[in-house]
Amino acid sequence: MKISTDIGVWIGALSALGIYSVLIKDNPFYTMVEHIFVGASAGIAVVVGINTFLNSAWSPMIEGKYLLIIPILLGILLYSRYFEDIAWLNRIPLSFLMGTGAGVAMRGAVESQIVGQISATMVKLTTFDSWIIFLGTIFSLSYFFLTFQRGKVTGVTSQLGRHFMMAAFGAAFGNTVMGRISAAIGRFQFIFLKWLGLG
Amino acid sequence: MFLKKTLPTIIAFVCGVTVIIAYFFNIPFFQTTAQEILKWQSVIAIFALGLGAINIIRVHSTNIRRAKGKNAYSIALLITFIVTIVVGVFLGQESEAYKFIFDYINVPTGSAIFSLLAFYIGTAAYRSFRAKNIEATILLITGCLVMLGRVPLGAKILPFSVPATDWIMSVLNVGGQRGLMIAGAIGFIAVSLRIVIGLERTAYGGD
Repeated sequence: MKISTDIGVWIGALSALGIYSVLIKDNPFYTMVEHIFVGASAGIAVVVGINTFLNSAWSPMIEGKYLLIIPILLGILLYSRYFEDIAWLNRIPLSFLMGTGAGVAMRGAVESQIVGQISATMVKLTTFDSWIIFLGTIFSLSYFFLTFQRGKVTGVTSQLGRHFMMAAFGAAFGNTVMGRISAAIGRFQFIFLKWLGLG
Repeated sequence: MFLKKTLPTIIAFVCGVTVIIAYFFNIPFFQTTAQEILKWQSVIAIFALGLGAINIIRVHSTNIRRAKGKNAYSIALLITFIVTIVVGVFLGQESEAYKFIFDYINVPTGSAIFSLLAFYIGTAAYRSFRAKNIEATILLITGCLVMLGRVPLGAKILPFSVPATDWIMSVLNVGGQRGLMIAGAIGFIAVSLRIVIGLERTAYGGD
């Protein structure tokens, strides 16, 4: 056993232990580590934001792309929410963000989630697996036919669709658990091997 | 009235429609405009990040004031927050100090928090997974098989769990997920369309 003398490793290990200590009971050590993490994460996000702003807006504007003053002014308008009399002004940049975001999301949804998924399903049904995928897609879609009353056939297909979706949820659950466990193993390896020097 | 209600709706409509047209039609004017709109959007979004920063400072400075300076958690949060910003802005993202904060505070703590769910989700599953009906049974079986099939120990306990996991992930899961994704996308498009044409004004603070 050779305990690390690296201050960074100590901080990392104590942070991890602080977080895991909540498994026993909520305690001041956990709360402190949690607050420090929030502060560091928020700080990092702000630093990334400032650098992105400098590189993508401020510097190009100084170099002659004067139109960029418009989004900068719109961005400043977001802060009008802190002044009651002019708080409504923040609706202008928000509407810009929401309108553009909705447009981008819409085209992304059409391409990857509708066209992409349908074209991936429309393959030659030559194997048992391809039939299962095809029927699973159709059945689970039929579960979402909510605009008309279900008949005998759609009742059965939607029921089967629920079964397919449950299988998908189970798979997603199992995957999530294993993903989190592998992260925990990584942390324990860090604590036992890198910090405590065991093994 | 026009500035408060109609103008935001017009802006949302113009931006949304331009971005959509630029994607579906090869019209140079719309494509150039959409590119510019997307660039502007990312600039405005950075300012939105500042709102979050201001809120953090407001909330925690209020906490400190109320506790008359005795709220160690909020003090620690604000100190870490400010130190990270000062280091990142003045010393740069490539500096040793910034890397130290990132590598030894942010990454290990974030990873520990991320992995914490393994314990909670495991105990929650143990308490709630009951094979009460066919659907719950399917959920239970697929969940357990995938968990077993993803670790070497699982393969030792139940050898068929590995091929079963592969089949579940690449066939059963795909069938169920595709239906969900397509249905979800249709709902998503409906909401997006409502925002773009101004029926969902609450999204940007309207009535």
